[in-house]
Amino acid sequence: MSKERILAKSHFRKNKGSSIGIFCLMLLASMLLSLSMILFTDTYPTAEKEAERLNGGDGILFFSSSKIQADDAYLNKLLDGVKEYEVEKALYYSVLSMPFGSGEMTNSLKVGRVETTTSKKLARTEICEEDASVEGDFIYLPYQFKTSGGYHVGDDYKLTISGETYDLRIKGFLNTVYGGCNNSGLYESCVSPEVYDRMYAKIGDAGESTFVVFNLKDDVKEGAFRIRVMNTLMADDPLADVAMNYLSAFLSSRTFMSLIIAGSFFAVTMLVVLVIILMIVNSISNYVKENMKTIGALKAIGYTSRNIKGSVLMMFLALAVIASVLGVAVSYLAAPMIASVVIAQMGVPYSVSFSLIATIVAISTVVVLTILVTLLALRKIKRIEPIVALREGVESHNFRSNHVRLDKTPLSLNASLSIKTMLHNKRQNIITFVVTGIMVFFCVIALLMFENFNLHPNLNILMSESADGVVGFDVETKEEGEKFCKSCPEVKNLRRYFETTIYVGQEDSLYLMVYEDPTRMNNQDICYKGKLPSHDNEVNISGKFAKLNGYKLGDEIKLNVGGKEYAYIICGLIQSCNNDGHQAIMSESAASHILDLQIMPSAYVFDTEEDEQIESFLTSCDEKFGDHVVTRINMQKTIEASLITFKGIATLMLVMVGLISALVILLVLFLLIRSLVFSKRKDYGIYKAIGYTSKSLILQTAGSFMPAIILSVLVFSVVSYFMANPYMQLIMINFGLMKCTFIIPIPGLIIIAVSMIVLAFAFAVLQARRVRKIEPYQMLIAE
Amino acid sequence: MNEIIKTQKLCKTFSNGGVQQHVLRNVDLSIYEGDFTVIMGASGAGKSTLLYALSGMDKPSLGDIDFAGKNITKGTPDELAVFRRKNCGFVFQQTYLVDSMSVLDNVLAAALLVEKNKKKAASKAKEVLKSVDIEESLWNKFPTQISGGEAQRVGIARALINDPKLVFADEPTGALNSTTGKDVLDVLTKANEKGQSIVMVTHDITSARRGNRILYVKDGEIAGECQLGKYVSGDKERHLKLRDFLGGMGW
Amino acid sequence: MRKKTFIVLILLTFIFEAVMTVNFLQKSAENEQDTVAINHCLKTVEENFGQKEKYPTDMEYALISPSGEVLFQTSDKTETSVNEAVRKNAAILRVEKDGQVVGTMLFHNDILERIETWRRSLVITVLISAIVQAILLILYHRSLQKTILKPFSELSSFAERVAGGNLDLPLPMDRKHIFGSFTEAFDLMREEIKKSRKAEKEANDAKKEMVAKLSHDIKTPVASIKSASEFGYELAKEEKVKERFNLINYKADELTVLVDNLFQSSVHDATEIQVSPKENDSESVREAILHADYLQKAGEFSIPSCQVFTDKLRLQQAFDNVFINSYKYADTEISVKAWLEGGYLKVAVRDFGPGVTDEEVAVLKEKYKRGKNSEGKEGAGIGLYLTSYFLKEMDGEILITNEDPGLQVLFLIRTV
Repeated sequence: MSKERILAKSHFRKNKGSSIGIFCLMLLASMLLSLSMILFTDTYPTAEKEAERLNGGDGILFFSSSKIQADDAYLNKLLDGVKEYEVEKALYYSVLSMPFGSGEMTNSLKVGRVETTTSKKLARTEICEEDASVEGDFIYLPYQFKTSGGYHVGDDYKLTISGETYDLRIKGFLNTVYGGCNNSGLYESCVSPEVYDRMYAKIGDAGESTFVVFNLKDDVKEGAFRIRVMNTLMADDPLADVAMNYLSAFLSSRTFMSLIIAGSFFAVTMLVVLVIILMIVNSISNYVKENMKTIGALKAIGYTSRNIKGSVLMMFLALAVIASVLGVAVSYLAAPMIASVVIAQMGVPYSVSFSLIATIVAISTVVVLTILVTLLALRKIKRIEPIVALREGVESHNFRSNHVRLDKTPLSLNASLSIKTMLHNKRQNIITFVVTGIMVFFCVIALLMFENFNLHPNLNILMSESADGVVGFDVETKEEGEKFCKSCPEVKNLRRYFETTIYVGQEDSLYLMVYEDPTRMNNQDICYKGKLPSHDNEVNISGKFAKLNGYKLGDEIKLNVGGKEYAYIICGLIQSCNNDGHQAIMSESAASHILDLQIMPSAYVFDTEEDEQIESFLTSCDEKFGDHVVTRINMQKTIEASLITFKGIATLMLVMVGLISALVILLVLFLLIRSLVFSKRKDYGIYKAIGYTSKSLILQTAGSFMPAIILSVLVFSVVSYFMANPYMQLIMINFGLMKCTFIIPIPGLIIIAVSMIVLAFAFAVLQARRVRKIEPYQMLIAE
Repeated sequence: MNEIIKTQKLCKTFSNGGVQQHVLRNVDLSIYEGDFTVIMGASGAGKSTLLYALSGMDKPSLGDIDFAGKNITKGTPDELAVFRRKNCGFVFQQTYLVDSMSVLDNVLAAALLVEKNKKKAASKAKEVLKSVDIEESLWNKFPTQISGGEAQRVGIARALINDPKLVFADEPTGALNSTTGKDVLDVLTKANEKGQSIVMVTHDITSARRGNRILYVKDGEIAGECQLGKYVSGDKERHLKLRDFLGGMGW
Repeated sequence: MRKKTFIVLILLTFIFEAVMTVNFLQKSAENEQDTVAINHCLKTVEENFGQKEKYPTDMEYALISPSGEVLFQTSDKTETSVNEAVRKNAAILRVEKDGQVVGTMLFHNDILERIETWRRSLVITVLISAIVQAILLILYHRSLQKTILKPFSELSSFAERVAGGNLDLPLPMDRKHIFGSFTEAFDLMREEIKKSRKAEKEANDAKKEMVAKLSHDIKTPVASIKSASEFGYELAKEEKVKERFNLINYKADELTVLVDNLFQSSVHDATEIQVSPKENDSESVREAILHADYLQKAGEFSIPSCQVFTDKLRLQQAFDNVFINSYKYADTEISVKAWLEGGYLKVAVRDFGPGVTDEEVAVLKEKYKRGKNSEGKEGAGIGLYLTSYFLKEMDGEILITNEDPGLQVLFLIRTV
């Protein structure tokens, strides 16, 4: 092996520039791969791991009823089929707007006593950060308030419940299984006894709600159990506020956003890896071309193709191993930042831990790919005959021809020499074309992420409907409320809706969203296949549920509630990240077959022209209807709340992606142009010797590059514009997101295209300036 | 005298754009052990082609070459490469040292092909470098940092390192001035005196004088052969004999 | 194009065909009606019952009243009675309004038509890909022809040429080197044959040349012998001696004829006689004339001193021929005059014999042509032809003119 080692060292010395370039690319690749892998193997499962650690149980049931006496006897009877369960009595607010960051978060809130909340055995709630010195009216909030909301221990927190305002201080944060994330629909908190008592006094008839975390027996089916329990409770008290959810549903909604971010990151990583593969191929074939004579001489003195291949492989392997190990190390430095973006939404305490899989995958991917690609690119070494190499490529039998004849062409001298250079570098041009294209695509993806996660966050992915605000009235005032809403000129696009639970047979339930007319929904993307329901026998169901139960578009599905059943035609499939993919949408006319619309509360989703009008309208509703307003959500504030911190961190991440892309582009251009200039060194020497100026040579070199680059930028700008969404979708579909329409701003695209071309030209000129330094004679004698 | 190489009807044809050019025609030739064989001829007569064909580096179009009992017209390129390690040493006009390797490494790179023990290989490389008068101070320099004559002597050291059956030298002094050229020729002559068989291509009579067997190539054929005694510096008779021979060949 | 490319392309067309066929089979298995669309249509009609302008038209259907009359029909294709609908596999749906059945919708089942369209498109696709395949195969055939058949035919025409003796045209190397070292060996063989042919011819020519030279060399002494014997004959007193001299004379004539024959046979292919002129002194011309005139019939003459462009041997032979002709046909005194004119040394050789007719003058220089007066005399009619040929090769000329009396041959010898 020592002979190969000597050669490998010499290869490196000879190709220091490109070796370092490749090294950096490999480092970037392994870093990005390792980061992606850390996100997937370590960060992303954190919620699940924590749930397990906290003994999360199978699900949670909570209900508040003034009629039901939830004593042990009742619960034992109700929870037949449960292996174990644990009850906690706490206050429950089903729809509550809470300050969150600079905005407002609307969610359900559970308020418990500190002792009872933190002493549970099942689905333990842990205090993960605390300042014991905080006294008086304090509150423990879910950890998401810190990661995403930007709160710290000791901050003031003002909570307004049914007109009563509580001035609280944050004593600590809770790490909780069921109530930790806005996407899972419930926040768990606990307050000081005095505050609890004050709240308890205000809550009225319902009193404390019952929260039951349970573990099912192995043979009990989740769906059936849920329906039986819900039906029993509804039968015992039709007005009871009942909710029951399984852990899996909580987890999937809690981690959905993380998955999208990790997925996007993965999408970018794949592109970089692709570019690096291409660049390795390119630089190896350049290596072979540039070192033809050395290879010939080595073969002459008795080196076999295998020996030479071995030595080149050894060099790239050494680069790959060092680069990937370093890259992985760097990834652990960068991981907390990226992970914090992913974690923000989950609200789970997390610190990056060493992930063996991530490390192995990142290193082995880079190393194995390098080996494969190197071996592939080195195949041609076998075909080099030593004598041909020494004769400078003059083969025993050759059939060369001259493509662009200087005497015949109508083009200018510089242009025709550029074309000559171009034609002699066909492979180089193809690689330039492809690599530049991928770079454009890469930038467009980065642009897409920036636009959709940062500048104008695309919430359609996360929510079932996007609007400026929601206002809901109780049954008594709903007609009056509607009239009032319609009479307000600032309210646009009023859509009446309500939500409830319906059942499929006795086994399964769906979370039903009933819209007056679903086809008027703002978020048309929610239905990724088929159409939104409009007629009284049409329904849309979650794609995940359909797949799980074998439903196809056009099938009939029988839905029931409260003893009434009706067969609906599935006219569309929707994507949903909430409720574990158990969702359905239908129109009011369809819902009227099984539900008594009269007794259903109704809410109104609306848009306004000006953002300020949202709050003023909601306030005027409050003033007019007081307690009858059961739901009031300022979506603008909610969006702001859920994205405020996220945006900041996302910016960081995007800066990083931007930096990586800039770095990759520079490296790629550096390698491409360097090798071109290098391989043409001798020709330039001759040109220079016969009187060409450096300037014209520089322009000629740069010029020979530009057609491929400009063409590539033009073609791939268009391709990227149309392919970026399908590409993201291709990646996202594996994560359960069926349809996403990300916006690609055209000005951004144009900026990318133009700056790519300018950058490439500038770089080409800069690289080509090396020509200037070399004396003609030196270039001529160069191998 | 033992034959190292024996060729039978050796032919080599080149073509450019389909037009054939028969550079070697039915060459029957033997190279003997211990000889310093010189191949002379006008430029384009096919001397270098003959040299590379003899070494098996360039596949002949027709004919057979028996090199130390092996038919080297057959066999894969890698087999031939392995064969060359032990049997052939090459000295090129442009030296073809690897620029990015030090002088010592250049020789070592060849030595390691045969001697697996790195220490032994290194000590042998040093010995050979000394024998071609390359001082220790140059060993860690790069080929571009030493003079052309020194580089060529390093090239010879690389060719001699594995004690090959035959050293092939293609115009070893072609790129050198007469003084440095003489050093290089001295080194080759010294090696021949120690028993190293050498085949050298040249079109320079000063270089040719070093040989004891002169072959003249004309139109792809061996036009004539002249046996001289072993080289003795300043032997006028020997020189005249060579002159006479070359004159007869139309040189 | 390379073989691989063709194979890949042809394979691609097959894959394309296979995909299209599978696609077709799948499509024809999907013979279900689109329930969502039908439902949408039905509901829209129900909602807008009676307002025909609001009925959707994106599907083919007919709406009939409970009594069976057609209320609405999107096109003539639709079935208009329940019976017909049943027969044609159409979907039959009740239209209800406020709980009352107000009509029946008959949705036309267009599956057969769709299958027909698919079938048509399948046929077209298969046809197109068949055409593409055919084109590819033709191109492949062409490229095969170019890479294999063309070199073969080139090789066979080369072989024909070589067999026919044309060794000048080389065999080009074929691009793919499909014949291996055969191409090189064959061309090498051609060159070797050409080389040996040339050597053979050179040897032959040299032989002929020698004979020609020898025959000339013999002629001079024979002429001397003849004249000596004639002289002896005159001087001899005794009849016996005279007879002997006569015999010598006779035999010398015989010898002359034989030598002439020998000369003529050796110079038979006169065009192949090498003439290699170079710079000479005009003295050589004088020597040649003196040498040719072995009977010394020419009187005194002088040659201007100059440099001429001649092949000494051939010029000698030229003069020989002219003088021998003169001896043969005229047998008179010969006058020789020489002067310089227009870049030539002009030498006029004139006899005073009968000459030839004017018509004959024109053809004398041609091969095997002789004057009328040659009847009964030895000769092949080649002498003047050769003379003319030699002079031309020396960048000169001979001009033959009838004088009164006699014939004049004017040598134009190039001066330098």
